[in-house]
Amino acid sequence: MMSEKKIVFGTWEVVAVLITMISTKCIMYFPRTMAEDSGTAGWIEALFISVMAFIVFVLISRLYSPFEGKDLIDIGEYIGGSAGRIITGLILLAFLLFLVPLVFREFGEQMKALGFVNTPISFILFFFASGMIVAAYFGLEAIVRFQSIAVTVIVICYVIYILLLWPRYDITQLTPVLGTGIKDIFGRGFFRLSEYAELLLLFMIMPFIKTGRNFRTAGYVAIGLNAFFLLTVTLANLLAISYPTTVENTIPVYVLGRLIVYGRFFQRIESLFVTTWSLVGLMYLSTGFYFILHIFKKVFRLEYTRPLIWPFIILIFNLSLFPSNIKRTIELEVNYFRNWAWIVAFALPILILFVARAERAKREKRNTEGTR
Amino acid sequence: MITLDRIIAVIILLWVFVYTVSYGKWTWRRRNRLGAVMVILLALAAFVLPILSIFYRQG
Repeated sequence: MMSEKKIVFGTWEVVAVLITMISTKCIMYFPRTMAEDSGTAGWIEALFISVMAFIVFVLISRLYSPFEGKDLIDIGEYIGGSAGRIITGLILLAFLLFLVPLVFREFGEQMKALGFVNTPISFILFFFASGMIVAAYFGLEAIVRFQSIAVTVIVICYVIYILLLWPRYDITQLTPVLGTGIKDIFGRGFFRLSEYAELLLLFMIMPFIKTGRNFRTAGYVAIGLNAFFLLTVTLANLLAISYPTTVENTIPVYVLGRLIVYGRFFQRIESLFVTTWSLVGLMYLSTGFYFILHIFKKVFRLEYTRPLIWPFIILIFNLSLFPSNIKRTIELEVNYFRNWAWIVAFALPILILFVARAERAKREKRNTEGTR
Repeated sequence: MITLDRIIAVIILLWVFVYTVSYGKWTWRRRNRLGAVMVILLALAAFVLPILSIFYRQG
């Protein structure tokens, strides 16, 4: 396996990872959540969230400019030495150890609901866990390069899927235009910035991107494409299924697939959805899992990630079984994590970068005074 | 109650525990004390948590 320090990722590879990490929610709860929040104006909320994410990213990328090639843990160390590295790393680790088990359970439960109603949840989760273990053994390079190919295919399938629904779209279903009101769109939308929380991984991939230019390009392209997916899926859901019926669908995209009917032979396309859906799930979980290992290794200066695979997969497996059912799992993610994750995903990097810039200015001033 | 699936689970957990602790010990010998302690804590968590949920979980 190539040493991590020698691995360099191109812009598309990073974008593909961010599409997997952010847009996975399109096929899970996202269209329903938008409709629940703002009614028929869910699409405006999706757009608003993306615009906010873009603005926050512009701010972060400007602050990041003197720290090319450094991830958040390196910057934490720059500010506070070992203590700074450990505190930053532990916060990031806690963030991922909350998110990954929840998504892991959600995928398992949804798989159970889609086709394995009588199978125990632990048995279904075992297969996802096996995929995560194999991916972690292959390492970050294999995970990212695989996604750069798979995401291209999935994106094409997604666009076809949305276009096939065209006859079902009814523009009048978007009225009233402001849905449940401006307060809901922008008030709730503000906290939903956390839907872009996985953008945090971009700040962890930084050492593999090398240049600041690639970092910014990857960020802008990723936010643009994710905005397109989040907006189109919300729009398709609202246009094809009238509000408030749409809020009753646990997996809206699956229900949308059932609406695609072209003659006697081209129908029930949702069966194809299950295959794509499990592939996306596996890519999401593999990436999240690998970053847990990577952060733990980096924070505690360990030499290998492989011996950490088994204890962490057992931990994630068990943490994922803590919520009593699918309802509680989604509630924990949507009502708690997705309302507050922006603090770790955006406020923390901004704070760290502000302090690091101040520290840098102080050191430069000290150096200039020393040379006089 | 002790059943075959529980026995298999405990054997796997013990194997992972020993494997992880040995990595912790190796890290300790490399003079990375904090890293070693954290790996051993991880090994403990990955052993104790499943045992608790296997034997004491309600429902």
